Amino acid sequence: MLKKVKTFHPEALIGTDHFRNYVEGFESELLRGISTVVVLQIIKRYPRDGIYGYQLLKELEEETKNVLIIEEGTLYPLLRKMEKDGVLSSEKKELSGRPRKYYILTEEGIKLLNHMTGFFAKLLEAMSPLMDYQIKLPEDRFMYCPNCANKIKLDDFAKFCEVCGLYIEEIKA
Amino acid sequence: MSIENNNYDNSSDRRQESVKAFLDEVERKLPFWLKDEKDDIKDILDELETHIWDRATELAEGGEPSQEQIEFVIEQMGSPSKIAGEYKRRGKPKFYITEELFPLYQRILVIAAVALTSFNFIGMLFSIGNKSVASLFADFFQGIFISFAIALILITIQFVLLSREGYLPEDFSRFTSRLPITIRRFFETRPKETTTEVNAKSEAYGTISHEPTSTETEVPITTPIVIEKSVKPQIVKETIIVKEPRVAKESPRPERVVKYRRDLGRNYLSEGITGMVFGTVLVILPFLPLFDFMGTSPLRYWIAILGGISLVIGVIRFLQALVGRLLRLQQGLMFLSVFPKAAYIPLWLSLIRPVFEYDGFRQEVLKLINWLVNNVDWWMTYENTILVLQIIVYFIVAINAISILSELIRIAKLEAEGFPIREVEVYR
Repeated sequence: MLKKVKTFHPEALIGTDHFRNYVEGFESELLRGISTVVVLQIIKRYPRDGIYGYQLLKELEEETKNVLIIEEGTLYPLLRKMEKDGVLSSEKKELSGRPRKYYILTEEGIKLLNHMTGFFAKLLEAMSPLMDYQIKLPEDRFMYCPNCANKIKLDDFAKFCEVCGLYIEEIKA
Repeated sequence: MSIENNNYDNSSDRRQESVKAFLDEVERKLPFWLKDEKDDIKDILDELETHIWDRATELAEGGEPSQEQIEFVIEQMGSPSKIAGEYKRRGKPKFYITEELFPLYQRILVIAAVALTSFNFIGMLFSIGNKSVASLFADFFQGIFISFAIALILITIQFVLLSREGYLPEDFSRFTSRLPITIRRFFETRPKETTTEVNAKSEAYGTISHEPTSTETEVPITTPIVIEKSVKPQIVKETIIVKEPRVAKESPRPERVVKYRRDLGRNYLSEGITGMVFGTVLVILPFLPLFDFMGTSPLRYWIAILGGISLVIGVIRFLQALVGRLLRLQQGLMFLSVFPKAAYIPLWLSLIRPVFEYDGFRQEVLKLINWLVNNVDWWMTYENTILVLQIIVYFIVAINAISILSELIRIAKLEAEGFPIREVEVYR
């Protein structure tokens, strides 16, 4: 992300290599996990036909207004890893004369994404007293598993958390 | 018109070349474990190539992208090292060795420790009578300490390198596929299981009759199969293996796809590690105080030379495992391994005849046999013992010769047929 940030004054903090590297390192650490959630969230929108890498990046740029940037070459290793881990499946199709790999969330991938978004939301909520923002979670529609923070629809008939197996029926009531 | 066409073709060629150069660089820097998977590499490079052309076509607003636009997009892709480096980012770092490789690392260390202790113990037995009890034990522990320290350093370096390359235990399966199942299991890792003290309740549990005490963690563990079969409600209050709960809905059986993969067919990795550890031990052991009972015997050097050759072969095998399916490099290393193997032959022959006008080893062996026949309750005559020794040596030499020949045949087969194919099952 910082690669697109200019240094306007030589005495600015990121004018020195040390602090520029520090800031870059922090951003890259933070974005690593967030990128996974965001990428999966976009793929979730295409449950039938899937989405290919370039289309995904375009959508990511548009949706996050170019704030969340994944270096183009590093998106594919991330997708491949998630495919190997069983989070995604893929299908090869040809479009405009070029082979393209369309990625779709697997059943397990959907569950993991629910957990990731739940965990991320609870994390932001927990951090909010320390920060200058407020978080309001949609707790009228979802509950967050008290054990693993998995996001569970309140109108689901599930009696157990799909991720950690916690008995949630009583908690839901 | 034709000039314009030529210009267009030249520009097209240059664009293709730029893209190809970038992809070649990515391929070159990919981790070793991935270099064996040609289909995967093709997929990776195809995706990157498609991405470059998509982005460049968009920059050209749907027209033919220029050379500059292609170069701009390539720059935006990130450096080939960084892209390739992402594929090495596997496993959770634990010190410098990944958590996934750590159990295998520990197992190999334990085996090395057991082997080294045994070697030293045997050495100690031979020293009984020549030294005081105190120095016998001092030498025994010193031998264990020094040899284990060296083995620890060697094994650790190997595992740090493997971790940096992003190896996971499952990557070793392609090296171990031809081994007996008992040895193969050594390289397999079981799924990690976590245990938690729980006070479990199930749907059938109904009202809670037992309130958890402050010392119990309330983590209900569910096994939906138990629920569906309406097994008698029960309170489980013990250590339970926590696994991901099974979903009640039955998922479709995975489709079995048989793929044919090309395989080296050799367990180079384990051969490499074993050879390096074994070789190092043999090089060091004869010069430890523990082996002082051998005096100035040339056989000490014979053992060290044997270890040196094993060490060299081990290093070559380890490199072969890392190189994977790079044909020329693999063939080069195979050819290189022929030389240390050939060196075994004169070394073994030197036990029963002069080799290169040197007769020290044979003389020493004859002295040893003589001592055995005269001082120990040896069941064979002097001549018969020499005969048995000769048979053993010729047998070993013959095995070595066959091994060299088969290595050369394997090089030729690789040239003619490529890597051998094995059948693997893939579940989708």
